[in-house]
Amino acid sequence: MSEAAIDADAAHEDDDHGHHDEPFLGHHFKDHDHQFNTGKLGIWLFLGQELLFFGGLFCAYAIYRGMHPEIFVEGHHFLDVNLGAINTCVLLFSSLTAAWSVRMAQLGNKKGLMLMIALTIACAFGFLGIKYIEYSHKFHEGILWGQLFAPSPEAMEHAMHGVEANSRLHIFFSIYFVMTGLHGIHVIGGIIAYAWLLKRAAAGHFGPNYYGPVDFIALYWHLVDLVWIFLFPLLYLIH
Amino acid sequence: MSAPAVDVGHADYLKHAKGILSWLYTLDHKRIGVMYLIVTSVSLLLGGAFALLVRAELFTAGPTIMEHDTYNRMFTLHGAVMVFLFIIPSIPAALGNFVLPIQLGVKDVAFPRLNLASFYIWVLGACFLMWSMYDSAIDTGWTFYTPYSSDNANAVSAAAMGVFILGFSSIFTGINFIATINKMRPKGMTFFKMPLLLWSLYATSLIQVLATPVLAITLLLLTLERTMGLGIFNPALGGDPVLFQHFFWFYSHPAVYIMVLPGMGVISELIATFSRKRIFGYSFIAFSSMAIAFLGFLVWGHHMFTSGQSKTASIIFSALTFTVAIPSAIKVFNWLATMKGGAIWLTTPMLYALSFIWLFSIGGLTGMFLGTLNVDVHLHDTYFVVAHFHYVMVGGTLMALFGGIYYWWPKIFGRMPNDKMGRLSALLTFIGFNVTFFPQFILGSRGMPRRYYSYLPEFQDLHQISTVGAFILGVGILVGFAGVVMSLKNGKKAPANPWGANSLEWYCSSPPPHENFKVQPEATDPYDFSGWKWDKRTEGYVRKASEA
Amino acid sequence: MAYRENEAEAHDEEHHEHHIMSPKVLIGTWLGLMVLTGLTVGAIKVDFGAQANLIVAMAIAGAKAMLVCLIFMHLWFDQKYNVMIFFGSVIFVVLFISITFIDTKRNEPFRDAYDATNKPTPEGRVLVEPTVSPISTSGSDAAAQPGELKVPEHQKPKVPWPSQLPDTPRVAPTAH
Ligand SMILES: [Cu+2]
Repeated sequence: MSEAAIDADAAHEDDDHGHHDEPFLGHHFKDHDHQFNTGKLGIWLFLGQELLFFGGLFCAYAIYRGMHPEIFVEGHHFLDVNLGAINTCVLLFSSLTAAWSVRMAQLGNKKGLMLMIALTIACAFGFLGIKYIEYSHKFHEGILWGQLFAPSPEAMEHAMHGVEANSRLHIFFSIYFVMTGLHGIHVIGGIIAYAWLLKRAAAGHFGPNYYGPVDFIALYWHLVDLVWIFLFPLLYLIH
Repeated sequence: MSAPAVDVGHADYLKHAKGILSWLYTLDHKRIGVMYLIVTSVSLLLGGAFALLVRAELFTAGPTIMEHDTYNRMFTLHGAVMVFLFIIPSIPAALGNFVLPIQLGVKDVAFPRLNLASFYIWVLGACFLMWSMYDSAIDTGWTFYTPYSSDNANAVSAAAMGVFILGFSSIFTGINFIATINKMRPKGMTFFKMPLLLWSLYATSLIQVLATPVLAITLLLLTLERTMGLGIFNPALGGDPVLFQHFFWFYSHPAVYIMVLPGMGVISELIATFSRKRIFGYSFIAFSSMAIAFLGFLVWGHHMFTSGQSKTASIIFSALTFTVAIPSAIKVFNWLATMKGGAIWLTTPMLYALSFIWLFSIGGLTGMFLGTLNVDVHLHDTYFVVAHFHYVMVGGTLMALFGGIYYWWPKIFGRMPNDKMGRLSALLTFIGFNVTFFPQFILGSRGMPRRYYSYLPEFQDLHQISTVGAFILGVGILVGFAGVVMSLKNGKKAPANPWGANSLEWYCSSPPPHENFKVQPEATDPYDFSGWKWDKRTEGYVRKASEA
Repeated sequence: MAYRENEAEAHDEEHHEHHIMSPKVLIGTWLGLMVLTGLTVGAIKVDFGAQANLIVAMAIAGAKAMLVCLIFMHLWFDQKYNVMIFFGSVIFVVLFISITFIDTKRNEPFRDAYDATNKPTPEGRVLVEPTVSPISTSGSDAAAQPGELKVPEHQKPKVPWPSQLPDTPRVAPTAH
């Protein structure tokens, strides 16, 4: 859904009937600046929409943490803080490369732009790889969401040290999986968007005059990072 | 200020390119608007057919024409189709798409591709909804309340995903409109010189962008709940069903304003044009649109007074609900003040506008009863609620939509709609509507619960009156459609400005050329009607010679 | 809703400076983010009290978010309207969460009493024999009768419930 939107949002620049001499300038815009500013407003509105979308999940989180704080304290013992912290660093680094890719496009440095995009994609894959390790570990131990929550006795003992777990503990994992899962889907969306961007960058489409899509997709990528910045302490770091 | 020249001469957008593919791949906002107009009209007829079946069933207590299971499905489908397929996209996506860029004098909306994408996303969502009907129509009511929806055997997931997808269509339209209005206004058009339709579309778009994603996440969680046993809303698993209602109404209360604000914008245009008078209190109407949009976000809990919501929350929500009445009333008073002393021209669109004011006032005032905490405990989930929101949503949106269609039809298709049939339809819908829904206020206040298959004998008379009214309303709508559709074949050719209005869309030919305007014209004062005079030859308005 | 800024900006011919971030600023921001990440992981090991720990964690996350927004996302240099959209959306998220949060405590006693006899599990509710009242009010720890709803004094309705009226038989509370 969102990746389609972000692609469309970035793609609308090169509208069909362009100015004759400017292949990437839409016929209904005055000039590149006009197009860039309009596109930027569009992507910010899209990010606002994303915030409300994740806002629903954060709301569910807040309500359950308010009503049943125990399950959060118990649940976080099942998560691996180290992997979470490493993933945070990976995403932060990818945000740096994403921001740098905008700089490269603005300077018209094609090689640098492609390198930064490639690094961002690599980090995104790295993030998903670590997430995969975490998830498969959980699946293996039967630590799943809601109805499917059936942890092995060892996993239970390891996290709870013999204390009986709250009967709503599975709700914590519903929230954990749905929040990190949707975030993961946004990462995949980012990879698709960046792959498309890499192709266009290789074709030499971007330069100081026209770099809207690089900027917009980077903004989207930073938002994905922002969401994780909050998910990490809310899910992994509970006292 | 020099008025822009009337733009005539090159091929209009309907003839610009030929063949079905030139429509399906079009990026032209006008064609996309027309496609939306077609699909939302079909949805209206479909939802209307469900409504008539429901009303026919209620003609007698007990089984009349269908079983109770079928009945539950019918009212659910009526609600879901009407809300998600018809009312929400109708005015903004159909009329708004057509009119908004031309009123700004630009060639297209800011993101034409996104605009087309949002149309196809609508089609995809509609397919899901249709599939769910074919599979096993849902009977949860259009609200999808948990826990019933968490584990009943019907195609709730397909329907929920359909609505999820439709939501993104709505969001993208909103993004497009905000960006277009913000960045592409013509020279001389500050925010406070825009036609009021644009203000209301702007406010609507803000709600679409900020509220719809919450509906999306709600329905996604519901679908995951059903397919993967997530358990966030399911009390059997320790989840919280009231949380679903908070989520759902955080969207669905503001959605009421997605439905009615564009209608208010249309009415502002109609009232000013056909009263031949500068709209009264322009900035109040403009600000009230924004105020409604903002306050609309803070009142959702008034749908939950009997849900087990805490008393504190209920009291806060009840108090906030009353504040929404203020901007709504401001609009009604301003329309009335505009008409006072104006030279009122009772055209078909104006008849619809007047009927809007009447019906919206009743709908709005009865909303006050329902917003009152203790009264609502009595009236909650009765026919009183049903009557109230139909007065607002049908009396509001449907009347404004028909008014708008009759007003802009000459511009869209270049043909004058059949005036006789238009007037007849305005009369029939007004009478039919009141006969249908006024008795429901009485039914509700006497305790008739909504969504019931059968009823006590003493309710029979009122139910039968209501059913008769529904069929009159149905005929009125069909006559209304016939009046415009038949004009395509034998209607009089429309002049560029049949009504003497002064916003920019009346400066280009009817139908408009492919690119609307070769160069973006300077803004006009949309409520200064003095520059036009009646021209007998074209039977339309032309610029007065002194200014031309 | 702040049309004023927008009005000014829509008519300044849409010219903005294409602000290019210097490597120093970019790397500095990133280092700052890394330090804050270390800080938040460290802070959780210190016991400030459950609520305070949450506040500290959220404050650090907020600081990181501001760094990303203002510098990586260029918001510091961006047009005012974009800033407004983003923080406006944040305000709506906060409104959504905080107003819903008012309602967290809505039915605690009822829910807990219900949970005591109908334990929520991944498989669905299972009936259990309650041992101790789930709600301890004014030190009374009397064992709840199966099916009896124990409600704190201030939550009790002024009018007697149907089950407390003399001639209605006691009925067990059921899920609504
Ligand atoms: Cu409401």
